[in-house]
Amino acid sequence: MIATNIRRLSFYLVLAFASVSGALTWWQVLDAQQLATRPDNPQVIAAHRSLPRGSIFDARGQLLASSQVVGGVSTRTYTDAAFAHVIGYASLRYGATAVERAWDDLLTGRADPNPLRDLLNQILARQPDEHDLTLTIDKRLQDFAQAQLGSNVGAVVAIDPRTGAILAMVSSPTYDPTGFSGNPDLAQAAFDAVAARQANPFLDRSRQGHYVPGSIMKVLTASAALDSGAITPQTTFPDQPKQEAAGFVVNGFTIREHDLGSVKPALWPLSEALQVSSNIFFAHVGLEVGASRFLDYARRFGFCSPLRIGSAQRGLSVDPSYLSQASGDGCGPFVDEVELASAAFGQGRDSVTPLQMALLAATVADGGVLPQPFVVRDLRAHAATPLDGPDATVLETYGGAAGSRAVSTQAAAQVRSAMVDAVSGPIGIHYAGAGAVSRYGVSGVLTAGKTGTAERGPGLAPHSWFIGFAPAQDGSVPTIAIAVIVEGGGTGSGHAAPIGGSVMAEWLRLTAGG
Amino acid sequence: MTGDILRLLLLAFQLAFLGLLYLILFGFSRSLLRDLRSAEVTQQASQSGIGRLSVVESPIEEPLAGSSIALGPINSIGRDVNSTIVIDDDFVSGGHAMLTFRGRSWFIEDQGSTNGTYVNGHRIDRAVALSFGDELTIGRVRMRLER
Amino acid sequence: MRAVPRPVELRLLLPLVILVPLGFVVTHIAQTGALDPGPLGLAIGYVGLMLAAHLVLRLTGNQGDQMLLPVVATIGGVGIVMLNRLPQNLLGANVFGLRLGMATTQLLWFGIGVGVMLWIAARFRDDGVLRHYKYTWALAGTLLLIITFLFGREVNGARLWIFLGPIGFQPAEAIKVVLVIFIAGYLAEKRAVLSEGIARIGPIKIPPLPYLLPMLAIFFGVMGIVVISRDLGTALLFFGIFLTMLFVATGRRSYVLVGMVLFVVGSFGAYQAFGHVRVRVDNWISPFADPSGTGYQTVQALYAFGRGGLFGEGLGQGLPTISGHLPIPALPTDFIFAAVAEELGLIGAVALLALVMVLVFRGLRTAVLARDDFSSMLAVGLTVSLGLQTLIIASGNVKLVPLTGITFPFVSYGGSSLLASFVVVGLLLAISHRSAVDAVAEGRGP
Repeated sequence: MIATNIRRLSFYLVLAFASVSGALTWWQVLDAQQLATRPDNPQVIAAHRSLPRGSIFDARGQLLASSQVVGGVSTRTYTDAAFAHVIGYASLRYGATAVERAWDDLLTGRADPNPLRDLLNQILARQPDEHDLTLTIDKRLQDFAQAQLGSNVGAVVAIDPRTGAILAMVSSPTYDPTGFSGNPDLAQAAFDAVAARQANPFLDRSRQGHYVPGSIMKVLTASAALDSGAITPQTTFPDQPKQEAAGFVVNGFTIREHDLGSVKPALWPLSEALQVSSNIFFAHVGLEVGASRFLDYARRFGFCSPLRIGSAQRGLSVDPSYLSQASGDGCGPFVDEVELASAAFGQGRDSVTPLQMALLAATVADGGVLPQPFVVRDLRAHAATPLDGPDATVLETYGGAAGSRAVSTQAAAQVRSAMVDAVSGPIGIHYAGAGAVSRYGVSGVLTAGKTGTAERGPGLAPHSWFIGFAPAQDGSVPTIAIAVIVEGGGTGSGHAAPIGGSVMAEWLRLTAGG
Repeated sequence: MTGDILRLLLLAFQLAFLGLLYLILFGFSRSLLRDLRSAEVTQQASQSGIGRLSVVESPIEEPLAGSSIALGPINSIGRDVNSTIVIDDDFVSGGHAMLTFRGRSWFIEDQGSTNGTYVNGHRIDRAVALSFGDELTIGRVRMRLER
Repeated sequence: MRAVPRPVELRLLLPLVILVPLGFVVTHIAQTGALDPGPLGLAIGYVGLMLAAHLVLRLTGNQGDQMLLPVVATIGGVGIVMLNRLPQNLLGANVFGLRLGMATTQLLWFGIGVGVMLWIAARFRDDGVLRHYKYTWALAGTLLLIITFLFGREVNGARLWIFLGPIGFQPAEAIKVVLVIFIAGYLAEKRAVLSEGIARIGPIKIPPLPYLLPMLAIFFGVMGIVVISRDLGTALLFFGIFLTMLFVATGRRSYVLVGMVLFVVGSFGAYQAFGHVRVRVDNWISPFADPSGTGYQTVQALYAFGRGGLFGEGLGQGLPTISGHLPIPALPTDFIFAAVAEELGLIGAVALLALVMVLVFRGLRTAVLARDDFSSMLAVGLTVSLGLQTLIIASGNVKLVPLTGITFPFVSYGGSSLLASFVVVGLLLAISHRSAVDAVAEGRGP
């Protein structure tokens, strides 16, 4: 009797011990990674407190960030506030952001790019060697773009369309994160001072700013329509002029043309419609393309899901851009044809990030291939004297991933030619001509572009947009694609276009010089 | 580099510690298994018995103090020579008590004896369930029920 | 007493001759970074103590279980290596004006514990003393508890300690053993009645309450005092031992079920009534809600588990200090299991649990082979007291149940706990010796 009960008891005890082992497995193996990255973990704190941290350089070897261990505390110095949003900060108190966060383990050396060394470091518990990073950004262009934005609130993103390398990525207002590192108690004052400022300087508007795109969205609509065959460059909509008297009625809702000034409405094909930025024309085009095809093309351009600067494993995340309600896979179906028609000319529920729009321009510039953006060029051995530039030993290179085709080469070429007209055509020059690089001392080079004026509702000044690329004359390969937003800046031609034009011109001058 | 050699040595020692711990554990489980097998054999050998009476105290020769009596399911106890367990004591009646195994437990019942049957020092007046280890006193003989 | 060979015991003890000194050397190298074995006195003392215990068992002719001592010595060996590796000034004792470090003090207690174990193993081969005076034992235990409650000193919010001059001890540990003896005696006597049931109302068997009452009265009296003195871990342990013994004696799951329902109701009441219970439970449910305040130790323990991973940080290389302090103050007592898991990893922690399971198996085997019901019940109760104690503290560490302040047997720092655990092993040795001798006398078994 007792023997039987004891046998039963031992079964229950084994069960109990097994469940303790199960819980142990959960914390030690399955959840260990999550525990290890919690910022209040003493290991993380201790590691960051005293661990040296590698330096960060710009594309030409200019020092941007470096660390010294002072009195057992690792203190970091940032040389250029224009890079605050790209590089982020590494703080004992506030954790790490942006590149500092994504490359944290490599910068501190807790991970090693060489798997064998990494394994040995782990097994032997060696004091790791820090590593340095080189960005794809040229400090000169970054500073120039920051200066162009000046006291405006907004963002500039410039990409090399051929490779996806980020050439400049600034967000204004910016801040100096130097004070955040080092002694955690002193960091709070510096951090709080920035947090108290207007317009949230911590927000990286290039990746996390959500804006109505306005007319720059017409580049996407045109690309989708031409590639799908919904229109040709010669297509016109015969009943346009009559409807334009009052507006184009979709499902009882009247889409009105914006104020065209002295320009008379006419039976326009694509080029002229883009030059005057006709809402009605692109509403028609959107309806021709149809809801599902339109969303499908948007996805091909990177909409509807989070983008990565870098790779899926290591990189900066970019908030997704949307055309409709963010449900399902990111872009839910349009509620009705009004929403579709509005989305086609950049209003409605459209919500985009500057980086996404720079990619849109880069895709057209790259002959219809969406490049994979990246901002960190390579990982190097730590340079003992950072001021003398980076070490020559490259341990790992990033970027160079093949892009994905969004539209055909032919469709891209047709959009490109329309965008050139939009900047320098007889009518377009009135709207977007300020974005032409030739205005900023680069003569003989054509620019492609499109302005946008994003209506935000009554009483609010619209956001000023510009996207474009250069050089864009026949036979040339564009080397820079750009997106500029100035919050509340009014018309696109007023604020954003001159900034875009001057930044592109600056880049062409810098690269022409050598 | 000397640091690496030291670290390598330390690692080897650490692994040796863990390895030795598992070696010990292995030794334990081997002994456990071996024991389990021999215990099964022992159990099979003793399966026939459902219990024994070991004689703790007896002033007489039948039964002898220190002896152990194997029990069947039904045992009559008394001075009568036909009893299963004969107690040759003047203070014991002819058919003194019945000791029976009913399903899960042992029971003792007095058969109307003169001097009574005692369990753990208490005189019983009806059938009483016994546990292994209980002491029976019949006449001047003390016996303990064991497995 | 004729000397007997104990070959299995010796064979299983021998690896310790390497294991414990190796642990000392590894931690010394890891901490100093110098290729130097460091002081090995404590390690040699520990191994010598266990081998001496083996010798004494041989000479006194003990034929009891041969795996009990080696498994206890192995578990304790891991413990002394861990304690020796921690900052020695963390805990310790003053003996005759001499300040002893933590590991030294623990080894001293190991010596006393092993001595008591050997004495019990030789002296208590006849169980009469324990069995016939069970009410006296129960009374003594209750008195001890009341004395603690009235005159005890409060440490960490629980009134657990009695100090006789400089030496403090926790009576709850002694009461644990006494209570097991009492319950075993009572259940062995009343087992048959309890398991048969006395009356029926329809299909429901009514337990014979009059037989249960004396035990329930004493038991809940003890529990009441334990709960009021805020020693939740011990209360949980006592209750678990009681239910397990009741189950083994009667084979009735209904008793356990009713007991568990009572426990849940009681816990809920305690949660509502006592602030310190509420804090414990809230920390259990969401330790990260207040990671630097009340949830601090729990969270730090989880981090220690996380750092350990599968193979551990390496003996001597874990447990990072923050400005010279260990992140977990109660590391040598309540969280020693977390420390083992961090440095030896999942595989080391599981090995430690497996060793405790071996101990439990041997204890239960002793119970099965025991000659009478009292010895069986006693062996079950004692074994379960060690097994449940391990389960409660280990699952508290891994956040399976709310954390309660009890020790990991043979591993945690603490004299009273160590002494009580060795008393348990001594009694198991005595019981298994008796059944072995009887089996040989009857010509069955080896």
